[in-house]
Amino acid sequence: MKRKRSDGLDPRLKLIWCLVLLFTALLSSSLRTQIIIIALVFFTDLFLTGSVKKYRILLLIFLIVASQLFLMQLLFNREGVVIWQWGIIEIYSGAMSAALLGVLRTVAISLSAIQMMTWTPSEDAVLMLIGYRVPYRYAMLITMAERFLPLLKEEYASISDSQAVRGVAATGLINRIKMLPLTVMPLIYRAIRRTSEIALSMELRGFGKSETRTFSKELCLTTTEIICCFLLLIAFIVLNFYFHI
Amino acid sequence: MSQPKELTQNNSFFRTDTKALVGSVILGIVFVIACQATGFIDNLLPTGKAGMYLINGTCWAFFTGIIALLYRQPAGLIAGEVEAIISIWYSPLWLAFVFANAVGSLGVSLVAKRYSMEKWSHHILAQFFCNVLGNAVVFVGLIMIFNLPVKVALVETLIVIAVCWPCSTVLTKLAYDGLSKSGLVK
Repeated sequence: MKRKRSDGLDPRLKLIWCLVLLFTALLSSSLRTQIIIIALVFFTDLFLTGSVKKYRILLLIFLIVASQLFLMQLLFNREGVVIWQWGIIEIYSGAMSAALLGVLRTVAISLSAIQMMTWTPSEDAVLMLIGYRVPYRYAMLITMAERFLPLLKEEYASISDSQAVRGVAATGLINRIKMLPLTVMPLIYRAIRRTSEIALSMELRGFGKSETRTFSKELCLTTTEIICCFLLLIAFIVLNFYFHI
Repeated sequence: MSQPKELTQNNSFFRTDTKALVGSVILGIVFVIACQATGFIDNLLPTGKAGMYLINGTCWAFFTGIIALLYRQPAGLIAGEVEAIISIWYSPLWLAFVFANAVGSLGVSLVAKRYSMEKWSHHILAQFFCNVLGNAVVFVGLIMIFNLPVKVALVETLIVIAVCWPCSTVLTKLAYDGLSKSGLVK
């Protein structure tokens, strides 16, 4: 598999980059800053991984959120002056900019977090947590979550199929709501049963027996990465608390 | 209704055995799958189009409650954070969920430490804390992230609490009793 440039970076640097983008998006009320953050995410991804295809699946979610935010702001925002009125419905001049800020901030926050998640393999995340003195019994749960997510999704699909074979209707809104307890409850029961089996097999293999654990890979921040971390933190403080971007 | 001794007599706040830790991750993933399914249904409803995720909110409170009751802390916190982190892929409010899931779970655990969770009143109180604390954090998220007007965010939050509190209480009580009787959580 082709090695990407992002793979060589320390996860702590990636985390600081993500947090700087995230908190700048939260603190800033400027549309321009939000657009710059979104552009930064795309440019860094293109440079370090060569692709931004992974963000395509978020398009539908962002469209749903944008439609909700525009609807809410147009109906209920009371900033500025009335620019359009029909009966009791009044649209104010501040509604559009407020909705746009909400949408752009939402996109900026989501993209910066997803960038961090896709750049960082779960093994690196485990090592990072251990580096922050989190006991390995807790840190290693990250790899477990990554391992079991597709398995449990498959199990949910098989339960849904089984219910459909038994004649439970799965089309239409009401039927979907009715089907929820019929699919989720068996999944909970199976998950609890599986928990007992996994916990027993892990303990039999000595999980949690000793205080520490060794790993085949070790994280090491290079001097360049340490300088980058400091520069990012200084840039964050100066831009947000001195220039108020 | 009588409960197994393991559940009624163990009122400890913490539980750090391997089973609780594994259970927190596995049920955290089930929590994610259920929230995705309910979120999809909510988006089809008129209330969902207005940003009020009533079925999703009920599902959230139910899972937060049941995991904290079955596996205590820090399992409740871990499951909540698993859900919050994975929700980055499908919910822009994930940042609020990081804190909402934590405070909701802690609220349930505090009630579970004090009471046996055998009566309806115990579950009503636990879910009250879970819904109010969790939705209070989401209220801040609606203002800070979505940039919604304060009054709109407040009304949305109150409607979600009013609907989800009774629904999640009924679901949690029935599921907790069912799981206790099944013997799966011994």
